[in-house]
This record gives sequence, structure tokens and C-alpha cells, in this order.
Amino acid sequence: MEVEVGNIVLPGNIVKEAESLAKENKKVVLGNGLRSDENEKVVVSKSGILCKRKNIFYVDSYQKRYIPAKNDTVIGIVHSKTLDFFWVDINCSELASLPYLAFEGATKKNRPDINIGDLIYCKVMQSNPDLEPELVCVDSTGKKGNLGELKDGLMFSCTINLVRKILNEKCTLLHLLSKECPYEIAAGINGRIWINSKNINTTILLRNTILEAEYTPYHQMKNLVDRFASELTGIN
Amino acid sequence: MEDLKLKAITAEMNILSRSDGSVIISQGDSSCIVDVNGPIEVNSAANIDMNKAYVDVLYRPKCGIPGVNERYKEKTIKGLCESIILTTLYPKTQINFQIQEMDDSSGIFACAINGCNIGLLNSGLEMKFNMAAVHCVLDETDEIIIDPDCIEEETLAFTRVQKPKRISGKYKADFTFVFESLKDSLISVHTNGSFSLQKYNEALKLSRQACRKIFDFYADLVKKCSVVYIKNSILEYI
Repeated sequence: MEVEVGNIVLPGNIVKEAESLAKENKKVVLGNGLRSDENEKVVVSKSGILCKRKNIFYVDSYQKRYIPAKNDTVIGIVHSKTLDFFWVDINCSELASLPYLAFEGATKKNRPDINIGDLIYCKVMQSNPDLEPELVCVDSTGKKGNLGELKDGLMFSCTINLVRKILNEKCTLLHLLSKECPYEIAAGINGRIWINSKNINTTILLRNTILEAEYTPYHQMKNLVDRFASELTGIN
Repeated sequence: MEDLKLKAITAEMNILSRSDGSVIISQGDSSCIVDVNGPIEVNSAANIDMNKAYVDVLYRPKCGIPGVNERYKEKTIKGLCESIILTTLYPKTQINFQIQEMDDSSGIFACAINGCNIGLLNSGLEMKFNMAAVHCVLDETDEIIIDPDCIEEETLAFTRVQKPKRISGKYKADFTFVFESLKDSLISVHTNGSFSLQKYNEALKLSRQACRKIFDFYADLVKKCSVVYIKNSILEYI
């Protein structure tokens, strides 16, 4: 069965448009949920909505389990320490390695002060299904930027779709919330969000509002935040 | 096409909050909950496969402890799931299925297979194609009935002892066919009782027509869910 961009797709469907573009010697990138089979046909492998941005085709699907990909920023929980690595749980099938030296200013003698159970906001450096994922807490210039340990605050798990949604530039939720109260947020694409604000009541209220946003369309975000604001004045 | 009537199918995705993919499915009065988790770490070192994912299936009966019949179902479903998931994409991992039988009024095996497929669609694991199982019986007048709903009351009785479900006197044989979605070709078959080859072929032909309805149901379900979960979170959608 052939499908077009914007359709609801099921595994086994064939994308003709990507194929014909490739035949015209144009560059086509197959993203999430698409693969080319042995007959050079483009076949869908996930259920969801087929999307296209420039020459990139992908399937937007519902997902809870994280599959590591390079350059994703994720929130990890330190699981154990060995001689040279922290082993970090990032909600995928195995523990990811985070070298001691992948922190700003870290040397062999000056080790970062991180303990088991701490939250770390980091970047996926390497992701190969055959190897364990590798994480770093610095950018290419050796600066830590926003990455590093997350202190205090509250971390909660959610679906990967919700993280993608609140990070989307069309989603005004975070911007509207910031007008109501100051807060810090770190959104890991592995389905974990960390927030911190001046008191725990506000933090919990923020968490509930963000979780509620999953099933709220973009144009109704204003109502959601208005409700948040009225509840905020109630508790403080 | 003849008037093919399947039992009413209903399914609800995401009923368990902590699993990666879950579904409650009912076909007529048969229903089960399927829970899919994966890719996760392999729980025993003996099962680690360096080239593909290991699939583990657990089938829980409505009452009592799982016996030989449940093991048989597990093994069949495991084989089917291994063939429809792109297991080579997830080496050194495990994919867990848990099936909880809720109610059985004939055709629970077909119901469980369809449930596994919907659970997989919900979990976001990459698949090659869909599968659909159709249950049918051969009654004493040598007529084939697709997806029957009537089973004598005594077989529905709640018993602690798990007996193999015999076909009640009314039926000569029962068949469960599993088809794939690309060319509607047969990928698994399970039969019980005595029948002629001609009747088998007849049942196969009827079931093949009926499986399209199940694939349509999948498409319908995914459409409904996509509108809720995804549609308001993407940029260039219509």
C-alpha cells in the first residue's frame, strides 16, 4: 500500500514520493521509522504520521522507550562508578558510560564531585546499537555550557512525545509559564524533565501543568497557563 | 464477497502507565491485556544475542498456573513476533511481551496475537509488517463459521484445574490462521480436530478475506491515537 506525506502510516507501507525523488538524483534523507529494503523501496517501519521537512522524510510516532542518537541532550541518573567512568542510566536498554575527563576542568587528579544517584544533564557523544552509548558533559570547546550536574529540583518521567512537544518552537507553554513565575527547566529527550523553582509547591504545580500539556493543543496552552496562574496564587 | 461477519473488536492503547506499549483488546467476549517492553537489558546471560534482540513472551491464563497449553501459545507468539519485529536493529537487548488472558469465549489465541500486534504499534518498535489472526471452526454440518462466539456454557465454567480446551461437541475442528499485511500470505496456522483438506482450504480462503477487516481496524485505531498523541505536536502536518 502506498502512502503520501501527511497520511497515517502503518509498518509495511511504501513511500513512493521518496523513491521518485531519489530517482531524479536528488538527495533524500530517511529519518525515524523509515528504511529502504533490498528492492530499493522506501518502507515504513513504525506507526504514526508521515512527515517531510525539506528532503528529510520521517514518521512521527508515539514512543516511551528512548533509543540513543548522537547529539541528543539527555538526563541521566548515575548508577555506579568505576575507575575511569560513571555508568549512567538514560532510560535505554543499557547503561551509558560517562568518562571522568568529560567534565569542564577535570583532570586525572581533579575528579568531578559526583555521587551515585545524582542527576546529570549531558549529551550523547556516540550511539551505536552494538556498543554502549557514550556521554559527555562538555561541548567541543571544552566548556560545560548548560550541561552538568542538576542540583535540587524535581525530575519526572514522561513520554518522549511530550518532551519533543514542549521543545517545539511552536509550543508557547514554557514561555507563558516563565511570565507567571521564575523557574529552571532541563528537558532530556530521553523522556525525563527536571524543574526547579523557589519553593516545592510551585515545582509540583509546574510538573502537573507540563504533564497536562501532553494532550493540550497549541492554541489552548494559554488556558492551561491561566489555570496554573490562578492555582499559583492559591498556594502562595 | 460473501457476508463475512467478525466479532466486534475493540482495543484501547496505553492502558498501563509504566510499560512501553500496552493494550486491552476484546473480540466479542474474549479479551486480554498485552504489555510490551523493549528494548531492555537481557535478564539472563544465556539469552544475549549479539546480532538481534531476544524476544520473550509470557502468557498468563485467567486462573491457575500456566501449563503446557500456555507454553505452546508463548512459543508460537514468540516466533511470530520475532518475524515481524526488525530484531536486528536492537542487538544485545530483550523485548518482553506479557499477555494476561481476561476472558475466553473461543478465539482467545487469535485475540492474543492481534493484541501483540497492537501493543507493538503502540510501543514504537520498528516492524516489517503487521499480522492479523482469524479464528474459525468447522461445525457438525460441515459448514465453516468465521469467528464464532458461541461456546457451550460448561466450557466457560470457572475451574481451578487447567484442562486442555476440547472443542465442544458442536464443532468438528477449529483453525487459527495468521496473515501478514503485505500480501495477505499465511505466516502461521494452528488447527485442532479432524477435517478434510478441502475444508481446510475453504477455511483458509474465508479467513484470508476476513483478515482485511482486522488490518482496517489497526489502521483505524492508529489513526485515532495519532490524532491525540502526535497531531498537535508536529510542525508541518497539513
